[in-house]
Amino acid sequence: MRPRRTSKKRKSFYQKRKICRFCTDGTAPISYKDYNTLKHFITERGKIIPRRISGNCAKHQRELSRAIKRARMMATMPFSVSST
Amino acid sequence: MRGYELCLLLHADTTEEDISKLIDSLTGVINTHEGTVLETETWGKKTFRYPIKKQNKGYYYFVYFNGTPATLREIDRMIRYNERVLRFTTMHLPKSYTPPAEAAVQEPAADVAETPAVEEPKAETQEQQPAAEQAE
Repeated sequence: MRPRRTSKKRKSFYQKRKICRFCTDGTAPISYKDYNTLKHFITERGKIIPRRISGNCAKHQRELSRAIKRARMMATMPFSVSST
Repeated sequence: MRGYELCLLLHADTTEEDISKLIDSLTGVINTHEGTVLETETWGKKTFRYPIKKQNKGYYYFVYFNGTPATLREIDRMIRYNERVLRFTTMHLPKSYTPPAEAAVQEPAADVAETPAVEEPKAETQEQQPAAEQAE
């Protein structure tokens, strides 16, 4: 990873260190069919929430991302929601 | 042999007959082409999040099976040009998938003989539950 500058502007870096929801829970697998779980990880416009905000660990964020993209393909989730 | 999951979106106007014909021919193809069907599942008619081919609703069907690349090729050929199929994806079976106990153990021929035996315990549990509720 390229070295970061000291965070003067990056206020979000030292906010709450969230724990990965899926690491602690461990029961429910991440599935593209599980809209009720997936919906918590997209914005109102349908974009995938970044890991630094959702607090997921790298592995689960990847699985989540894959699941959301599959769900989008199979029309259980939108690609984008126009905010009007 | 590898586990796969096939997700199908079918046109909303498809009759039940045609759907069952399609699913049956699919499972037939799988079985004749080096594969074994584990399970079929459906969500019925659901509304799409965005229109597909101008349709807002469609039938969701899932087929779980074991197969080889040859199996996959055959399925692809079958589905790709079928006008009733709006969309489909085949993907690897998730590790969390557990096949239903009946399908894992028995051959298809034995299923017919076994299903009455499977239904009886269910009937028993249903009778026990109202009794338990009355006791409470």
